[in-house]
Amino acid sequence: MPASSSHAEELQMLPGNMECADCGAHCPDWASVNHGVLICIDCAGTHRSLGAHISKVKSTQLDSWRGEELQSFASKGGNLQANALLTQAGAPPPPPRGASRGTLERYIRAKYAPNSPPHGDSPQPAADPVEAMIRRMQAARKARRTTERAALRLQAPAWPLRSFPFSSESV
Amino acid sequence: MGLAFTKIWQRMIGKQEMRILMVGLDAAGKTTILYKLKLGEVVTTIPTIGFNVETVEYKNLSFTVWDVGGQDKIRPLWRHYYQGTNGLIYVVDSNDRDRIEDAREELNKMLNEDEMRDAVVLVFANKQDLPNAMTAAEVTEKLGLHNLRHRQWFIQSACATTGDGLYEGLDWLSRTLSSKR
Repeated sequence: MPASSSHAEELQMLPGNMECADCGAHCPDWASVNHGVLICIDCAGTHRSLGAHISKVKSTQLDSWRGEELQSFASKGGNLQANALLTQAGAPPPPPRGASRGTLERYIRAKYAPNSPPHGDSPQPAADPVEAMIRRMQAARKARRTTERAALRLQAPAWPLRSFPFSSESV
Repeated sequence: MGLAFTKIWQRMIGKQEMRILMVGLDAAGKTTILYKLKLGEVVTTIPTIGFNVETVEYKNLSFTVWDVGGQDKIRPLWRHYYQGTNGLIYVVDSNDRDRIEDAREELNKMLNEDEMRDAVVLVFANKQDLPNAMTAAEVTEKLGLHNLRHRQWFIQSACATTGDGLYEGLDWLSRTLSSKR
């Protein structure tokens, strides 16, 4: 079920959704669907740079939303609640209004991609502090494994660039 | 006579101009690729509403690259850029396994358009720096490139932020387009 513009308005009705969840800009019309937050177009740019495995970015105006996406987004309760959960799970305090884009980029990375796990599922905010701690430990373990793998990859090229054989000539 | 001379002169030292359309789903990395080619730098991008256009000089060719926004509801606007397109650069986020089927559908839709019948296709399997990325072979299979008929195509693994693969892709485009002329 694609969203009409009324869905965009509905999404903005959730508590805290009249301001960007990351920088506080007014009337955000972009979203991180999996994190359940509305964000401005500039922060949407930063979210996209984290990779779709960390943040799935959609426009509330220029993208269609499936019914289950809308439901899962709304179930997170809006920016206020989602931010509170992220803070509980260890997100740093937000930078002051008017902070530079560089500062906001570092904040967004620390908030949504702690330890910058470069792959795997996006870390879901945990309501329970113990659960949050376990998740952080798991993330740290994963990051260590990644580092070990990265060290292994240094010995051999990770992916062939020049010799890739597929083209219309090879069929 | 003058015109013929101009043509010969262009062949000898001038740059042939090529119109390149660069499309793909939103967040595939199109704008990052465009400015990495143009400026050699990684720029901070925001989602493209509308288009960016830049001229990129490479070897004997001058590519005019149109980078068009990929958001779902603005994809119908792509067709307004088809006319006169020599080459299509189709950018895929290799890390986004959930939407590779959408990417396949959009590509097929476009290649079925009459105005695109002569365009050669370069696919960038982008974001290879993300460890969960599909390989170019996987992207080839999932896009169904081997099923394309009467179409010159090439797929190149790429990482727009480091620039890896971008010039290898342009090399293929310049070779293929030069030989078509």
